[in-house]
Amino acid sequence: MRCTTILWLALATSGLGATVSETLLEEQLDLLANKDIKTTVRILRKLNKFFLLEHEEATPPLAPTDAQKQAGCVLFTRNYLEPVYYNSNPRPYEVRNELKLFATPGEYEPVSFAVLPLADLQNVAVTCSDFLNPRDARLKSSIVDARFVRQLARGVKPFMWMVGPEALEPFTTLNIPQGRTTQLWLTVRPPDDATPGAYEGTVTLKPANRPATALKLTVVVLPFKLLEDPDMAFGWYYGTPSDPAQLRRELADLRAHGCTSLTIHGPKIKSIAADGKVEIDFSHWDELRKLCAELGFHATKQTDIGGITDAITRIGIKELGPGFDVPFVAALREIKKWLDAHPDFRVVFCIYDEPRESLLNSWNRTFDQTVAYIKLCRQVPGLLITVNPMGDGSDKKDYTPFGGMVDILNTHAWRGSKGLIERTRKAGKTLWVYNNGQARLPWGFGVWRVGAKGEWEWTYSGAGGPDCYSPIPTGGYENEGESNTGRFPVYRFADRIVPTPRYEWCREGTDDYKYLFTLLTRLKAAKDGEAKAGADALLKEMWDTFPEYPAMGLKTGAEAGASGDPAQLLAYFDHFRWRIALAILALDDAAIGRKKADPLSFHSAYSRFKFGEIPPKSKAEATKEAPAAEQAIEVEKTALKPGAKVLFDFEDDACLKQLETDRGGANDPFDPDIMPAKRVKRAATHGNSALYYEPVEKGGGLHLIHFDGDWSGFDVLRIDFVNPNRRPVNGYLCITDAKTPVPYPRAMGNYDDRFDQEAFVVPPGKFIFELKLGGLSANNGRQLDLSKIRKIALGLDGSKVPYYLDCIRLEKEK
Amino acid sequence: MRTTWAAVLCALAGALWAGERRAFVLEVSKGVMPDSVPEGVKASLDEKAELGGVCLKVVLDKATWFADCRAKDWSRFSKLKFEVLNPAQQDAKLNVTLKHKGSTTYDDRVDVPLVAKPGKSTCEVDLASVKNNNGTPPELSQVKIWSVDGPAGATLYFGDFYLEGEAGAAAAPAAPAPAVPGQGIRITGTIDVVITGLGDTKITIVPREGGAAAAPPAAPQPAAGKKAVLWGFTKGELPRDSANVKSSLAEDARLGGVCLEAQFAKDSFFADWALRIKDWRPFATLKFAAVNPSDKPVALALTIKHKGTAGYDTRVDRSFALAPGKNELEVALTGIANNDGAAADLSAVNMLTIACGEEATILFGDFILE
Repeated sequence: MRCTTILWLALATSGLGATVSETLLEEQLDLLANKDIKTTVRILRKLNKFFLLEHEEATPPLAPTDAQKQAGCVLFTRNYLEPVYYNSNPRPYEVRNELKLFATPGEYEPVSFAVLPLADLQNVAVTCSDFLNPRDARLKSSIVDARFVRQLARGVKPFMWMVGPEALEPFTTLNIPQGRTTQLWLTVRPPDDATPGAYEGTVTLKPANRPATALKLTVVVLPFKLLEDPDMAFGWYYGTPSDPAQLRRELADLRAHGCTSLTIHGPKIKSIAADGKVEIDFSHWDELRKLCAELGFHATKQTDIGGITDAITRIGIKELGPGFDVPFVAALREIKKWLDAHPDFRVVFCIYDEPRESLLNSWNRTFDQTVAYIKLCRQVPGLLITVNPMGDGSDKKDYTPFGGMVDILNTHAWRGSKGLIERTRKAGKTLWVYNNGQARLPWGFGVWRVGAKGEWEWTYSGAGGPDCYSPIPTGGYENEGESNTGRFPVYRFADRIVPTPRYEWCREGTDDYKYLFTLLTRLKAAKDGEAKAGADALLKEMWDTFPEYPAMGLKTGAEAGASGDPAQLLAYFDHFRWRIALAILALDDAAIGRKKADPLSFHSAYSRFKFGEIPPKSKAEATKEAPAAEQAIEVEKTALKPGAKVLFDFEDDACLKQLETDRGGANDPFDPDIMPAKRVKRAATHGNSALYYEPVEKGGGLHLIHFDGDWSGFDVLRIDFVNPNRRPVNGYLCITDAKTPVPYPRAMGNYDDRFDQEAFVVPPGKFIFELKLGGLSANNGRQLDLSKIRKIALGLDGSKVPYYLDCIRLEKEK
Repeated sequence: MRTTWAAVLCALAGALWAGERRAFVLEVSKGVMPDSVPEGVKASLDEKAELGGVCLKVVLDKATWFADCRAKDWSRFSKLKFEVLNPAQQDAKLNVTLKHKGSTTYDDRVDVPLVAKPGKSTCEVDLASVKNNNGTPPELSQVKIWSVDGPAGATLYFGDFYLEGEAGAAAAPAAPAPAVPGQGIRITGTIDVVITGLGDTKITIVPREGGAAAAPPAAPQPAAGKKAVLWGFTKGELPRDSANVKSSLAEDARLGGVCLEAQFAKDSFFADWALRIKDWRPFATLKFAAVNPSDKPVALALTIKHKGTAGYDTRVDRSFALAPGKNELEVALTGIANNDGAAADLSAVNMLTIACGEEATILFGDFILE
């Protein structure tokens, strides 16, 4: 692989010695208005604070055919969910001269191909023909928006950047130097009144200095329109610009990308007095209301209460202190009056941001403060309120009661919010989820799977201005080595908005949701029969296939933003979308009394097309294993050192009496229902059995107790883990001795008086954890009494993943 | 006897202390830039010989300030200092603002006017004497935001911003004082000088407690050129603890001979939870050299857990990127802050960890406290 990379780099190196990625970085810096940024990057590189990494291409280069050599390029098609880098090579099955897609009238649908240039291609133009169907219906070429994908340096690790596909830019002609693979991105939008059917057209790539190359593009227009869920809020956290033209342009762009809501500033408090006399300027909301109605932002908008609090504290009243209630509630009442007069403009008030119990930023409040605000807001009947805790609790404070306190509970769609999500459902309140990734899954199948009625993401307003392509932040450098590029969905120039592939993925997510909603709506009206049963079965299959939470890598708090692995589930999206489309057609057939096998049925007419095929297994897919718990795991046996003392080998059930877990009742003995551990004859590194830990709802980490606590005379504690997960996980270990105060029987004692080893990494497979015992000390520096060790606590990934444990032993090194 | 020793050593210690006790709040010479730059201000790095090399270029246009909020505890220092280069022909009036724990309005924040004369100037804010705009003492134990304002239209170049001196010690006089050999700063107030050994002298200066901030444990004074080996890999030591790191001894001329070869797996680390030196207060810097034998940079993370550490926020994390070849790395310890910005308690360092998120082999020389 390394040889390939080096060879490719050698090929891709220009006469000046710059690599393709360095040239691309130079071009990026030359696009900036502030030329000092180029100097800054040069200095940062000199200071070893800006490294440009090369993308390591996994696919070996193809041997070009004579025709390709003559054309000066190889064209290849690639799912738009997968990145194409400047040095990407086509996979054999991607080298095709045809593209195809399906869409409903009025739907945006992307399709992508790439050029591997074998020579410098000058002034390349990409044009589309009109699209014709066999019945002479025509779609104009203007339904296609063709862009090239600009490669920009984006931060991938602290102090390290890598050039990759980032900005979808319109162009007339384009120079494509030899060795710079370039992706073209076509967005097709059949008009609202398009006649259903299959259309064919041609996409032509014509360099000025080479012959043209053509690809066939098939567009299948489905015979139904997508329905939009009137209660669903899709939105980006957004700072409304003061320029009305920019606001209109951006809202139109958001709406065209599936958004139905947005965050808005509160109305301006012109004056407020301690006695509750308040004057509010609603002109900003008046304008927004008109614009939202015009553009179709029909879902509930989000605003906050901070502006009211700020206005009150400015007149000398302490937040939530004496005298705060009267003006605060009065201001809310005034706003509610306006909202009642404008029922088409629904607004929910978010009570500050991401409540927490410690290390509060100016925009955070504690649980108690948030509850105090909720009580004040509840003095204004009908006012909608929301809170957005990141998870079920913070600093041991239970946040799940929020689920029943507010009208809309907004949280991350992750396991850490399981309690909140359940509580919200039980209370019959609305669930929103946020910051689950700039990817297709969380915005579509994921939000459906988690049962939310809102999906929000940080932030549309992150990169703007003439320097928004700057690889380093221009508005401050909070964390050294951080990036400006690669984080936000769009680049907002003064006169245009340049989307990223991520932004387009999110739109496709919202379209997935529309397909689902259309199917569910049809199902409600459907009579029992083959079509209904088929649709039900499809829904169940999707329910089982898509993860309970969008498994796209969650980021929280200030770091929330870009994440997502397009390769992870990409094969399934169009596969299921196409099957949903066919299920809708079958239901439409059934509604008019046609069997789906009827040659005249919609289903028959469209099922002859093939979409959503899962491509040949990629390397990653080929190595996929069976779920962890189902594997027959054989591991290398552990050889004990002479004189070793085995504390646990889990060979009989007696060991179960030596276990406790840190949740459940404090004095409960071993309870197999909440104890997440059992003995299994799998993955044993010593003897025939191991202990298998499988997370259960009320279970926590494992505590090992009642073992021989005299460790004196031994040098090392060794513990065999077998990690059956396909990724490394973080482990923790905690040890107490007789002097560690234990406030209640199942406790591990306070932090200072015990030994803790946090965040050691346990790779997949067998892993031997080693702890040298010489000088073993509690966190406060007190040496533990090795003759009186009392408890060991263990866990991996916060006790959220399964693992095997065996052969916990003490050994001598000499 | 004790008093005599105190008197003799006081001047000497003061001289050393003044020179070495420096905590950067914005080390622009190392490429660190302010964390808050408004629209209408352009901040970038540049190089100016007058400022010793890399500096911060600030173009004030539609806005006239920049700010930073990472260093929080200023209570143990007597001055904020920085050098500024004003390329214009006329004075540039500056204003340094400190918004601290007690600041809610203009009245209870600190504003200090300064002047950048044409050419290079050294600017100082005397923290010992600053007051809020209403005359009350500021709470410098938690400076939330410091900012610098300048005139619209100006372009200014700044060197490092750093804190210097010991709170409780009188600020150096503005005018040059009569030369007194060996005297850097004068220490006033009640102090105890504890001599714990003559061969390896450690001096503990305990300033009289005062102000709003709880005084941290007394810091032993650094002795001239004092060095201590924390991890002696050149002497054949190996890390006490590790996860997924294969550690062995190797030889590399760039590191002077014997060194540690650490083969990091993905997300791995080596660490020491029983450091031979737990009290790091006498030292200003942790230094080490590392060789990255590959042709790609490697990111490393260094974590210091100490007596006050209870979690991520109350520990110290630093990240580095090692260029291919030899890298000289150092962590400034004076005034070092936890991830939450509060001062780290270096009186008892419990654990030092070097972690790597990727597969990489790195060679390490000794880790030296200096």
